[in-house]
Amino acid sequence: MLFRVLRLLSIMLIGLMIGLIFFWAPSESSMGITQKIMYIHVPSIITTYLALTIAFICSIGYLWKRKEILDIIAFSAMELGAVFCGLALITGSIWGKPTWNTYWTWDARLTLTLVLFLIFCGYLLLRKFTDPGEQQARICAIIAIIGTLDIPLIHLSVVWWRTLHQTSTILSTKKQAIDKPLLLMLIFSICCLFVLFTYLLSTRIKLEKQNRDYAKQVANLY
Amino acid sequence: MNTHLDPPIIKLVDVYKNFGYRSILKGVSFELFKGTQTLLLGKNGSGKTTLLKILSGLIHSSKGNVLLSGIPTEKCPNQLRKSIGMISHSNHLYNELSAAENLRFFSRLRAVKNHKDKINKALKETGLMRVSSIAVKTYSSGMLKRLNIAKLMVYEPEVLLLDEPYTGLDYDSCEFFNRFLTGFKQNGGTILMISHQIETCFECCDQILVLKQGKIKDQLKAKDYSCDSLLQKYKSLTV
Amino acid sequence: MKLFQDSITIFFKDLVLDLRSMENIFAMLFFSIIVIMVFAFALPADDKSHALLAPGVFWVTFLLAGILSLNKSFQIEKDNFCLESLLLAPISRGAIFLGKMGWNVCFILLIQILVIPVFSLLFYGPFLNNFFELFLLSFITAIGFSSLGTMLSALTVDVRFKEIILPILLFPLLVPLLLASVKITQVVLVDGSFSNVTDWIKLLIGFDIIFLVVSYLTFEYVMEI
Repeated sequence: MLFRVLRLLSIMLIGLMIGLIFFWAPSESSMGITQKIMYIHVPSIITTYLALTIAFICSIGYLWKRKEILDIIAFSAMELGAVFCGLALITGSIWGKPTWNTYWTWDARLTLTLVLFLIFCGYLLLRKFTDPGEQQARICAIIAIIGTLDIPLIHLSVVWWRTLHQTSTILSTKKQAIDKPLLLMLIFSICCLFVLFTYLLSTRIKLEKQNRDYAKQVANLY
Repeated sequence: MNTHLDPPIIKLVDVYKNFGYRSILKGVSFELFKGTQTLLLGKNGSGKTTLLKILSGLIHSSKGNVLLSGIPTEKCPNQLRKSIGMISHSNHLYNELSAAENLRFFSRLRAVKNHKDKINKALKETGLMRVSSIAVKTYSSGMLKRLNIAKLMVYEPEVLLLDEPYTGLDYDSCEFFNRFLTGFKQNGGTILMISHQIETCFECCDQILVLKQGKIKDQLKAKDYSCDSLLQKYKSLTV
Repeated sequence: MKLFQDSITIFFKDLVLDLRSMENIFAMLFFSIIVIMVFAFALPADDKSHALLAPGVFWVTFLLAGILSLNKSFQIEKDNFCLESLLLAPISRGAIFLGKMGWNVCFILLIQILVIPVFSLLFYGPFLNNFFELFLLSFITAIGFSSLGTMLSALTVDVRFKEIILPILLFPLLVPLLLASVKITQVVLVDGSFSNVTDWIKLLIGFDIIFLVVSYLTFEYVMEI
């Protein structure tokens, strides 16, 4: 029941979000229609960090309590984190071409988002290269914890490295860094993507649990 | 001499172990008493080595308790490691170091008092004194086993866990090893041994445990059986 | 107290093993030379390009050679199941980490003493003028590299394709270390001192402290079999 509600809500909200982006949100004065990709790009990156935070907490929880469900949640969150991080990089590149005349530049924040994507991929590869069970869960939990602790260093390097990237506007203390309608649209997009993420995460957890239960049954047939 | 009125030195209570999605041990319970030797029998893949590793603290059980003198081993891991000596299939020795260097290294980690004298004595008794400064990679399998026995002589553990200790030993080395085990037992030591060579170790055993499908299927007193009757009963588990 | 005694025992055991056979030292040294040579062939050969690229090439060489030392660090324990012996000893897992990490740092520095002059000879001459500064920088970098690297090397000791997965996991995590080292080297080659890069030095030291502490604390979980 809850899954159906979440699925319906996600579809409705994403549909509404896309509609509002194209038919309500005004175009930004300097960047024009290109700016609208921000409503996917910024929520994607925030969702990535949300996924990483969930994985971090569940990984610590797993090492402490050794409950399999925590490993399942951490794994599912990391998988989705990789997806949203990839989406952020792609949308960032699409935004970058008309804005900076390049799909990619080794700007610090872009570079270190790429690094974060590689950390996600490393985690998923590690899952593939280890046999399922306690050892896999433990090793991957440690990698998730270490990877998350890299985040402050990512943030720090934005300040010190030359950057083409838009500095933070939502949390900016400067007045009117972003106009109200655009800000509202952005906040709404973030909420929509959070709901989508919640639906995808809960579905992925359910699927992973089913897979593991089946694998346990098969393994103990012999 | 154990009267079995003494509490057990090691007690397993309903121990489970999963590797991946496979359950290897499914509720194993037994006790080991001071001054006794227990033989653990079971087919290949029945979980004997896994059980030994859990007892040594090398791996954790998925469920259940392992008690050392009544205390759960999670609460006293270093006490458990200090009390346990282990010989398994593999050598557990650094190939590039000599016998003396290997013994010195491991005895330093175990904070063995007067380790120099103990090492010299152990090397003499195992007949390895002449080759003690040569790298271990040149040793035969019999010499490696004797070096592992020398390690145990230096550590003086309370419990010995032996996984196929007679593999690779000639007749003289087997005799030497049995004499060592007898002396160890007489000094109050406890032995748990995995072996398919029942004839070699039956005489010294007090208890026989049979592991089947992850559980202790049979728990026998050795004095109630002769070697032949045991061989007959567990033909499929022997060499 | 016992923690440090055990760490030192493990440190000296690794020292004896590596210095006795010397094969690891020669392998790392020759590998470093080969990497420098490959860069010398692949990049523009003029002095101006070399001046610009030298810091990056030097630290990439450091990383690639360092991975070799990490791979062998726990490989010697895997041989003959010596890792089980270590785990059966009544010592804290932190002692194993500190002993191994300590020797990895010293091993890397030993190689760097030889690589810095070789790099100066083959790629960019002025490197040797700042030998002390570069050695000190190597020391600070080696601590962070070895802390994280030793922990990940132990973590992946039983993983399939360990030689591939270790760099895949380690290199993204070392990016702040690499960036800081390259930046500091660029400035040191010009100014001859660390005075203009104190922020980067702080980042490097912060990285070292964070991952030394985290690796030490998580090593207990890493060493479960």
